[in-house]
Amino acid sequence: MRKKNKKSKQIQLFFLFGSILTFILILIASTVGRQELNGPQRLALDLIGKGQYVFTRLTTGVANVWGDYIALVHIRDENKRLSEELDKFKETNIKYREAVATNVRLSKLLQVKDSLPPPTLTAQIVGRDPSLWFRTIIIDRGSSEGVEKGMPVVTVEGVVGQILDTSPNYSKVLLANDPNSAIDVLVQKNRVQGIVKGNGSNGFNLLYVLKNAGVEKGDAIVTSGLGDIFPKGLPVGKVSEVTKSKRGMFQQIDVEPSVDFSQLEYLIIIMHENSLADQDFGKQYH
Amino acid sequence: MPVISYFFLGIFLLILQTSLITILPERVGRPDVFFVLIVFVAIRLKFVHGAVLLLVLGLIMDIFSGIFLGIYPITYLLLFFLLHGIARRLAIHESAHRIPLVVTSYLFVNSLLYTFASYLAPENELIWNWKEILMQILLLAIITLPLFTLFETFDAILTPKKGAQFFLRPKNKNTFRD
Repeated sequence: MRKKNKKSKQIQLFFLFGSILTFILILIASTVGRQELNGPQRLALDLIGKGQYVFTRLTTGVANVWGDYIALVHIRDENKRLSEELDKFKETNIKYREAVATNVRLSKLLQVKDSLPPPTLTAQIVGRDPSLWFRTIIIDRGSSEGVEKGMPVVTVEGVVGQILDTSPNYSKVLLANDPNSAIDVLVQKNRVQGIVKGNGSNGFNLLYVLKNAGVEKGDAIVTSGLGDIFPKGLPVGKVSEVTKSKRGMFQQIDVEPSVDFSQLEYLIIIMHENSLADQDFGKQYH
Repeated sequence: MPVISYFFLGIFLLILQTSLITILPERVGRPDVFFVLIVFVAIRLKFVHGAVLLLVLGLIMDIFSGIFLGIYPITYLLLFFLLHGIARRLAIHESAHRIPLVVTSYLFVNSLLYTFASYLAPENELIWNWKEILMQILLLAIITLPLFTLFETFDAILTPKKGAQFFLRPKNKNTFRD
């Protein structure tokens, strides 16, 4: 009985697979030569297509993110490289500008040097007085180059001061705006004499000019050449204010310096004709 | 050894003061870092060491500033004696007193410089410029505490024992019991 049941099940299975196979064969036979999908094919395409779509989107998304990341890495490198390049060019540009500015300043100094009585020596400022009460600077030329106490120091614009002390390689300069500085000067237009003294800040006072002397605002003040320290005719400044008080013999005259003492950089030392620089270093610096 | 190290620190700050700091625009102000060291040395070093160091730094300052030789050593020594005298009566080493101490010392030193310069060249009138002095006082008030901290670190490196004592001291000790 059991054996008979088993046999009938086998026959049923055989018929089922046979039917499915036949259906598939009919389906294949009916599909061959056609160009249109049938219903089940469309359904399959739709389902698989959806999967493909999702997968492709995911892959594309990941690929894009990866691509963007890689690109960012490259861009970062590129950006870094370009920034470095830009910095380098900026630095070069600053150097060129500084070189041009130095060239202009030195050209002007050369022009002034040509107009001054030889010998002269160019110097650079290396230090400034830190105190509130004194106006001195340190320059990079000293007694080994023939610099001596009392030598006048000038720039393109005019009088700066005079040498106060020297060491073999450096010198201290007393600026003309120091209250302890005094220079013999002339009012250029009428040759009235006076003495210019520093007022401790960025200005001068013109002293010992009589009240009857015609001095007006804007008059040019130049060195008188008296005392054999400063050569005659160097610009000192311009009269900025004239006050005639009722008392006293003299006028109170304020002078605006021709030199901007806060912008000093390169200076010219006017050497004595018999100085060491003239004897030994003249050829080197002229 | 610490005196020599302070001497070189003083030279370094003097060079800084006369070169790099002078480049700063006047309207911004040029803080007197060298002066803060002078005050620090005056209150920190022992009597003989401090006096000798300030005398030497004053002599060097004479080279770079002013036209009358000798006024800086005298001024710094007077400041040193004054601060040592005050230190016996007041707790000027406390950090709260540092700014007033430096500012007062600055006014004292500048008053002396003004007096000496006016006495030595009475014909050259000096103008007491409150604007510049107040500007410098303001700058000193700003830089005093950071610079004192820096100098104390320097001092701790120079004298490790002293530095260790400073860092290892009991924090919650009752100071009134001593």
